[in-house]
Amino acid sequence: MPTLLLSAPHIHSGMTVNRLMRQVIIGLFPALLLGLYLFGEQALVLVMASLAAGLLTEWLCQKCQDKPLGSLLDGSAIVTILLLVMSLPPHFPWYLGALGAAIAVILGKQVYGGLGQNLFNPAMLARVVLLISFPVEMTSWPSPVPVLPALPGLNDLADAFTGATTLGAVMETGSSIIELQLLPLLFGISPGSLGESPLLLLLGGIWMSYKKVIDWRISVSLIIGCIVPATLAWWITPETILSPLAQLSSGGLMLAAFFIATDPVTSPTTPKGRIWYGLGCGLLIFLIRIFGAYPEGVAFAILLMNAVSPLIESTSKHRAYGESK
Amino acid sequence: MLFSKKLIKGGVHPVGQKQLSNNSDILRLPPPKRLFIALKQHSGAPAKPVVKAGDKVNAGQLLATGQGGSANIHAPQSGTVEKIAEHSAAIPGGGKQSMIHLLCDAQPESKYMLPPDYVKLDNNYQSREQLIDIIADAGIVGMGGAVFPAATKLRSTLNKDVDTLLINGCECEPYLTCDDLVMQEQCVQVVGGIRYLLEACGAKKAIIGVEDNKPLAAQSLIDACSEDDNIEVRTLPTHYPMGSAKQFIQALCKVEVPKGKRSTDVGVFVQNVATCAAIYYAVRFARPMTHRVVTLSGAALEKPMNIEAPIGTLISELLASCGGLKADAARIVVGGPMMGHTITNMNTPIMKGTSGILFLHEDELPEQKSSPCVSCGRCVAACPMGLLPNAMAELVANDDLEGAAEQGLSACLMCGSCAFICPASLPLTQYFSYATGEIKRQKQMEQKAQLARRLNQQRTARLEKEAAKKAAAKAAKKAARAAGKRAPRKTTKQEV
Amino acid sequence: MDIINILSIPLLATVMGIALSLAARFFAVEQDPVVDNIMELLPNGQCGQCGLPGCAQAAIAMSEGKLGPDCCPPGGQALAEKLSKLLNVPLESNSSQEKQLPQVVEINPELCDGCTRCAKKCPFDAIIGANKQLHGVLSDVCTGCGMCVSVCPQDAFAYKTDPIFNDGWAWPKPELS
Repeated sequence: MPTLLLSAPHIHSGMTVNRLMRQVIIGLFPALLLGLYLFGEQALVLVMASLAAGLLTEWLCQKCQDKPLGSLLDGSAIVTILLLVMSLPPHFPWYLGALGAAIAVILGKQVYGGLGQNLFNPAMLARVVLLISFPVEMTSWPSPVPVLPALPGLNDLADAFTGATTLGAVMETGSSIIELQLLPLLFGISPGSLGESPLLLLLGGIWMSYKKVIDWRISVSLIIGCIVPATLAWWITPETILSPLAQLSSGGLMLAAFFIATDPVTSPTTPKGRIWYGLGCGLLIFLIRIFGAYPEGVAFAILLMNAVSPLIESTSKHRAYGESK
Repeated sequence: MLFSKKLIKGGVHPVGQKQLSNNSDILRLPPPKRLFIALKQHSGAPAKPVVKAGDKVNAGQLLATGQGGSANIHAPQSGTVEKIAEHSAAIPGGGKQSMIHLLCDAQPESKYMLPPDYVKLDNNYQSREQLIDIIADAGIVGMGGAVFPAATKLRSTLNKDVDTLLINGCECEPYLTCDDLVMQEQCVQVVGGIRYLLEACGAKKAIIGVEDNKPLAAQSLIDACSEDDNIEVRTLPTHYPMGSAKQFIQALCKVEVPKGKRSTDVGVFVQNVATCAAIYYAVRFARPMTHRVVTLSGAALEKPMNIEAPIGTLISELLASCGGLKADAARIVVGGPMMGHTITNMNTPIMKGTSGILFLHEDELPEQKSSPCVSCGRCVAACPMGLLPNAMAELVANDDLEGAAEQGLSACLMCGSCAFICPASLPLTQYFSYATGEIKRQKQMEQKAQLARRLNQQRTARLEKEAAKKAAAKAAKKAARAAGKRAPRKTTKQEV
Repeated sequence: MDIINILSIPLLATVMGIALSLAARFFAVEQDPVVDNIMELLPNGQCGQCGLPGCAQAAIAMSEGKLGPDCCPPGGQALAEKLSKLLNVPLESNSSQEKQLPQVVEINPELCDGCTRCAKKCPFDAIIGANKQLHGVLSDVCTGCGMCVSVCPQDAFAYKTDPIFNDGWAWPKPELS
C-alpha cells in the first residue's frame, strides 16, 4: 500500500549526484586517454595507484563515521582523484600520487564532514600540498612519448619539445620569444601535466555545458577573466608575455575553466556570483602567471577564490520575484 | 531556445505525460449511490450546513452557506441527507472532515447533470454587484488549485481598477488534462463565462493563455471567441510553473506582482478556464458548482481519462469507472505530480478543487533516497520566485526558521521546481511546508503569550488596587476606632 | 639589564591584576541584568509549573543555569527559543514526534458547580463565570498553567491540546536517511 508521508513533487528530473559525477568523468576521459597515450605506463600506474589509494582512504573514512555523507562510489571521490592526477606531472612517482589522493580525500573533503561540506577544492588542495612538499618531483616534466608509434605525425610533433613547459620556459627566460608550435600545444602534445590537452578538455567542457552538468557562466567568465588582461598585457609588452592563444592553450587553464572552477561544492550557487567567481579565478590565474613565483597559478587561484566563494554568494543574491528593482 | 528570452524566471520542464489522458472525451458518470460533500472545500472557514439529517434535497439545492468569505455548497443530486458527520477526506495528512452524507435518489434529475435541459435565463442581473452575487450564490471557487471563492475575489475588484482579465489555461502540471478537455469540449461555455467575468471585474480585455502543448484547446478557444474583439488567445511555451498566477501574469503582462500585493493591484484579474465554464453555467442556467472534471491518470491505471463527476463522489468509485488498476499503484496523488499530495484511503470524496487523481506506478516515481547537498545551484536556477532554496532548506534543517523567513520563505509557491531538479533528491518542498506551518504556529503562540502577559499585568494591577483600597479602608477604620468611636455596624458586615 | 626585562612582565601582570580585582569590586553589578531580561519575557503567571514558586525565582534559576530555557510550559516553544537565545543555552532538540504540544484546560460542565474559585485563581483572567453558574475557559488565553486545576473542589478540569495545534495536520520536518 502506498505510504502517506511523501512530499510533492512526485516526479523527478532524474538527475542525481551520481549521474552528475559520471558525466564529469566522461567529460574528462578524452583528455585523460590522450595523456595516458602520450606518457605511457608510468602515467597509467600513477592514475591507478592514486585511484586505489584515494578510494581506500574514502572507504576508511566512511567506515569511521556514524552517518557518512555520500557513498564510496557516488563518483565524487573518483572525480577528485582524477582531477588531481590530471594536474600532476605525468611521471610523478606513483606513491606520492597515492599520498596526494589520500590528502585530497582526508584534508580536502572528509575533515569537513564529507560530500558537499568542503570549503576548498580537494584536488587543488592536494596539488598545492604536493607542490610545496615535493617541489622537485612536481616540476619535472617529461616529453611526451606516444606508446604506439601508430601516428607518425604525432611523434614528429612530440619531438619538438624538451624539458620545460611553455609557461615554465617563459618564467625561466623571462622572454616570450620561444619556439612555439601552437598546433601541438592545442592538442596537448607538449610537456605538461597528465591531462592537459586544451582542445579535448574544451570538447569535454562544451559537452558538459550542453548537458547542463556544469554552468557555462563559470567557464566563460574564467576564460575571459584570464584572457582579457593577458591580451592587454601582451599588446603592451609582447616580448615578455605569451600570446593570448598560447596562454589559453597552456597550463591548466582549460582544466580549471571546465572541471575545477565548476566544482559545485566550492563555487557560489547564484548565477551572478558564478560570473564574479569565474572572473576572479581567471584574473588570479593571469596575475600569478605574470607576477607570481610559480609559472602556473591555477591551484592557488582556485583555492583563493574558494575562500571568498561564500562571501561572493552572500553578496550576489539576485532580485526575487516581486521585489522592487 | 538558448537565445530566446524566457517569459518567466526559473522553472523546469517535466515530462508532460498529457497523452495518457487527453485523447478520449470526458466521461460523464451516472450518479453514485452516496455522495460525501465536505463542508470545507475552499479556502477560508468551513461552510455552515443549512440542512439536517433526514432532509430531502433537490439537485442544486443549497446545503451549506459560506461564512466569512467562504463559498456556498450545493447538492449535486436529489436525495436525502443521511447525516452530517466526519468522514475521511482526501487532504494532506489523511485526516477526517465534517461532511454531508447524501443518499442519492435512484432517478437523477437530468436538469443538473448535463446540457441541454438547463433553465435558460436572460438578463437576470442589472448591475455588476448583482452579477457577482449570482456567482457567490452558486458557490464558485477557483478550480486551478487555490480554491479561493471567485465572488470574494471579484468583490475585491469593485474598488480597484482592473484593466486586463487573464484566463489561465496553462495547466502546467504534468499528467493533468482536465482543463485541456474542458477547453476543447466546452470552449463556448468558457468564452461565455469570460464575457460575464469581463463585466464582473470591469476589465477592458481578456487574454486566455494556453501552453503550446495543447494546440487543440487553443484552436477551439480561438474559434469560440472569433467574434469577440476584446478576447485574445495566446499560446505560451510549455514551462512549469507557467500556470502559477504570479508567473502567468509575468509571462502575459510582463509585470511582476510586487511582494505582498495582489494581482488586482497591478490591474489584472486571473481566473482559471474551468472556473469560467462554471461561471457561465451559474449565470446563464442558474446551475451551481456541483460537478467538476477530474483527470484520472498514471501508469498504474487501466484506462486514464477525464471524468465529469458530482462533487462528493468517492475516489474508489471513480477508479472503478475507468477500469481499475492494471498494476500496483506505488503512490496515489491528489492533484498534479508537482504539487499534489498523497493519499492512502481511496474511500475519500473529490472536492471542488480536486483536479486530478494520479495512480503512479513505481517506475514513474523518483528515487527516494536523498544524498547530501553539493550546492550545485540548480534549485537556485529553477526557483521561479528567485529565492535560494538550498540556503533556506539548510536554515530550516538547522531550526533557524527566522533566518529562512528572512530569505523570503513566505514568497515560496511550493511549486516543487527545486525539489524536482535537485540531484541530491532533497525534500526541499517539505522543508518549506514544514517551516511555513511551524512559523504560523509560533506566531500564534507568541501572540497568545503576549496576551497572557498583558492580562496578567492588568490583573496584578487590579489586585494591587483592590488591596490598596482595602488597606486604606482598614486604616480609616482603625483611625476611627482610635478616636474612641465605634464604627457603624454596616461596615463590619461588609468585611465578611 | 636582563633583570629589568625579566621583572617587567610580572610587574605588569601584578598591576593589571590589582586593577582588575579593584574593578570587580567597585563596578560590580548588584543583580544580574539577565534576570530582568528573562522576567520581561516570562508570562508572569506564577503558576509554579517550573517547580519554583514564582516567575522571579525561575528567572534567577535560569540565569544561574539551574533551569533550562524550556522550563516554562505556559510560554511554550516560542518562549523557549527566545530564552535559549538570550541565555545562549541550546535547546535540547526533542524529536518532533515526542514533542509535547501546548495544553489548555477545559471545564466539564457536568461537574462545575460555579464556585468561582478557579476564576479568582487564574493568573490570566482566562476563566469567566458568575457565582453558581457554569464557568468557561477562554482557550485562546489559557496557558495551561494548571492553577485552576489545583483549586477546583469538583475536579472539573481536564487538559486538552491547544486549539492552535488542532487546526489540521502539518508537515513534519523531513528526516534525512
